Amino acid sequence: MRKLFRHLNYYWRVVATGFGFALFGIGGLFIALVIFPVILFNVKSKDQRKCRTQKFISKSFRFFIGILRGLGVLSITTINIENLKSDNGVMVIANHPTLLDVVLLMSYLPRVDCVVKEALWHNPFLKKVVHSAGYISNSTPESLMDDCVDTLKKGNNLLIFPEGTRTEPGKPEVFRRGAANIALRAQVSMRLVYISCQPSALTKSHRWYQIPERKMHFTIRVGDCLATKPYITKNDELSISARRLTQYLQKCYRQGEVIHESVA
Amino acid sequence: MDTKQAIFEHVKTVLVDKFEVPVDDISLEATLYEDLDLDSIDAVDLIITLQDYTKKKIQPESFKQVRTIQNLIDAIQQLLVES
Repeated sequence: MRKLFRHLNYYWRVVATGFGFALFGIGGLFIALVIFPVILFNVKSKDQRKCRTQKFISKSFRFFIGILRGLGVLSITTINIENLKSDNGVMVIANHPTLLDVVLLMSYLPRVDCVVKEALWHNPFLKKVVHSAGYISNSTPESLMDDCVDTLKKGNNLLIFPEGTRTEPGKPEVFRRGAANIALRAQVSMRLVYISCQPSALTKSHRWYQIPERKMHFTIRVGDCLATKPYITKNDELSISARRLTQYLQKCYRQGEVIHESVA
Repeated sequence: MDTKQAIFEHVKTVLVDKFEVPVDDISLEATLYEDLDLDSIDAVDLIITLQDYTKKKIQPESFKQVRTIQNLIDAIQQLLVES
């Protein structure tokens, strides 16, 4: 009986996962074609558009995650999540175990910029949305860094995955130095977020229908707001500071420890 | 004009001091991105630093083809010859 239930649950989740993917695509299209033009029409100033679009994206993602929870595809535990909402002009960094990480984090971040791959800037449906949200394109490394530094200096938050791509399952995190370089140049703090998903799912090596035996359980731990200033020293070049900071961050994530200060 | 050996020594010093590359890893065949673990930001930094040495503005385009230390030295020497 129990076995039968497990089987039924498994197939239910395959169907629900497929539905989730379809909903994400269709919902995205609906927002781009129907909802978004309304924002564009009603809000004229660029800054306000950015704010409204980001808020709307965050709410949509929250709704989407809510549906996945309701369907029994996943469950979530959060730790110190309220700290994310008060951040301003902060670089939010996280490890990147699954395909859902961006959606999950942005559902808790009403105001955040992120880097969007260049292809989407040419996508006929989404180009206006990413443009209006003021997201950053990864077209060339030089402009990418300048744009990231600029937006942080303006007081916006920026979400970055320092690994640059999803974490290889079972392997230690390898951080690239771009995130540290940007934070040091913009002189902003970094908010450390650690995501884990048990059992492992939606990784780079999974296809959408290859779902785990049990439902996915996400834990999102919001950790320190790390000041990066102490890494800038008189004697060292920025290239050295970025290496030190990256080494420190990588160590924290490899140990799975992002909460060091007692976060009140 | 500096010899290739002198340029090599200078590049070596920069890589060790500014980018913490282990000195033993630096050989003519070593690739900047894979073997020496530089990234695109380091590459821009490196070009700016080497400008002080060549006393000439380096066009990033002329460094696009640079993969190894040997390529780098050749590119710098090319610049110095042109003066």
